Amino acid sequence: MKVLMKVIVSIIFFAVQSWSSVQAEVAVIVSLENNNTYTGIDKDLVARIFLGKVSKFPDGTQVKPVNLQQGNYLREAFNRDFLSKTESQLSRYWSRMRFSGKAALPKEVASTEEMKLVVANDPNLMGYIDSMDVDDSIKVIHKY
Amino acid sequence: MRIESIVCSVVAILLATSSVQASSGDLNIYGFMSVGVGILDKNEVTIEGFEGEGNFKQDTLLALQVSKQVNDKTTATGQLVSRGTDDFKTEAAWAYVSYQSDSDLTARMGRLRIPFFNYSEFLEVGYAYNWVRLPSDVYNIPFSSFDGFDLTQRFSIGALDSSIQLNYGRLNDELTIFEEDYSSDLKNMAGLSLTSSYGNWGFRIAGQRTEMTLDTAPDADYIAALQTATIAQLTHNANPSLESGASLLAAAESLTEAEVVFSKQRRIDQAQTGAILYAQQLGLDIDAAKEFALDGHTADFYNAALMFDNGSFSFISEVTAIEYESGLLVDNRAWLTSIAQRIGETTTHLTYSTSRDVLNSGDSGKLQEALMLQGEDKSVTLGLRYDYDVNTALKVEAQYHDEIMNRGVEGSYAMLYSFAVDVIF
Repeated sequence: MKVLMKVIVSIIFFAVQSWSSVQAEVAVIVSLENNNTYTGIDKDLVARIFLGKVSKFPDGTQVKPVNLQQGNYLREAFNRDFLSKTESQLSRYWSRMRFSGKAALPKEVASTEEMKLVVANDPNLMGYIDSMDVDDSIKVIHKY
Repeated sequence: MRIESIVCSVVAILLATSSVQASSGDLNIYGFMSVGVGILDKNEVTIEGFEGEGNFKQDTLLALQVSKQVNDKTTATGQLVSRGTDDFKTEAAWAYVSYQSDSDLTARMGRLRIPFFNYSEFLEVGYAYNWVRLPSDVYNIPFSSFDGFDLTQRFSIGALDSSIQLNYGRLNDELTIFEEDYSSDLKNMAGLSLTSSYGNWGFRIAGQRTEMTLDTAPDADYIAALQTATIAQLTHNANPSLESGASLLAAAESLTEAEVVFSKQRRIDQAQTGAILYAQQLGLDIDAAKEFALDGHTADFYNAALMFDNGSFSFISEVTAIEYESGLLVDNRAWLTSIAQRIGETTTHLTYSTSRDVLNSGDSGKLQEALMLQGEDKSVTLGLRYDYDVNTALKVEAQYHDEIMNRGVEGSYAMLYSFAVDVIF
């Protein structure tokens, strides 16, 4: 009986854990100096920017995407929710770009803190963080 | 030789600048590698370079790409490829300096890939596509790089993202055609391609033109020997004498010698000689010496492709047409359609591809038919790609290849089984 309880508890625990990682709300962020809060950046445009298809914000200024490193739970959520691609599909996509000299991969940062710091200091960058980590150092332009 | 020295200097510059700055972050080294094996179920035919015994070399290659951001807008890039088919000799597929403007215009100069097909600019990166190798019915142009420049302008209309690419240059290189080597000069190579994507859809249309010169020539000795022998025969038949008999014998002897030389020549040389002889024989009103030559004759290439990919299901359909001004090479139509279904990390794909040579109309076509230049192929390929991790793909493939016609006669068919591992790093 005890063993059974333990199994049930761990199943529930895992379920809750994976549920919460699936449910992570991704906040797409820019610098406070960026003027594109009201230009209507939708999910599709975020995806096109992160796939290197679009290089400008709606207001005409340069945009460079910043990614979290591979293996980060939020990157997985972002890949799935915004890009609709798995990590290996993205790897294939970028191998085409890289080896034909068409586009360079987005720069990568190691943590949410680093992401906030680099994005806050450069109005040409677009990044993403967990919406739980949003503070007043950056602006949120899209949430999903 | 020239390209090798360009590559050397590019690499030297890259290394020099990187050591001055002493920062590893700026010098990027990437690469890709494919190792594969293929085997045919028949011994008497060769398809895609494979025969009845396992071949480990044909699909194996290694490439290194070195790039260095020289300044804010300028990057130098070199891509060196060693192919098993070439005994692992290293060659620069790319060696260029690129300049990126603020207005989404990129200019590149140096050695570049010719954007013939949808997969042309990464045609050797096996990792980048589902197949073990690109369908050769369509991807069958014996050269893929040129020396020159290209300009790419990207632009978006609503959610439709496009790029238009203009290329211009020249290629001075050895070409392998029908497994024989020719030195070539492809001048004024110019092309335009438009690529668009909209959501899950992609679209491409492209054209290229070049003026082809190959080191081929009709065999004047053989033609003369044949004429001399024919005249000697006629003379002897009309009025046989000891003298005419002797000269017929001598003519026949030198014709035999000329025939030996002729039989050892390359296929296009023979066709060029053959065109002149057949034109006389068939009494065709055609300047074969001029029309069946490769001396600055134009070649035009057209391509269109439609792609779809929603993450789990994808397809591509690609169609090409090649038109040669010279009768020595036969106009060609080819297309492929491929569908793929992805479940987890496993992708199953099925492809049909076909290539058909189209004879010219009129006397030129009659001559091409007499020279037996035309071919026709079709293939069905069923394959599996497994993405082992984000840098490694394992592939197995079975291809039914039917050579409907090869050099004007009925061809053969065979099954080709392949296995490959593709890696990027």
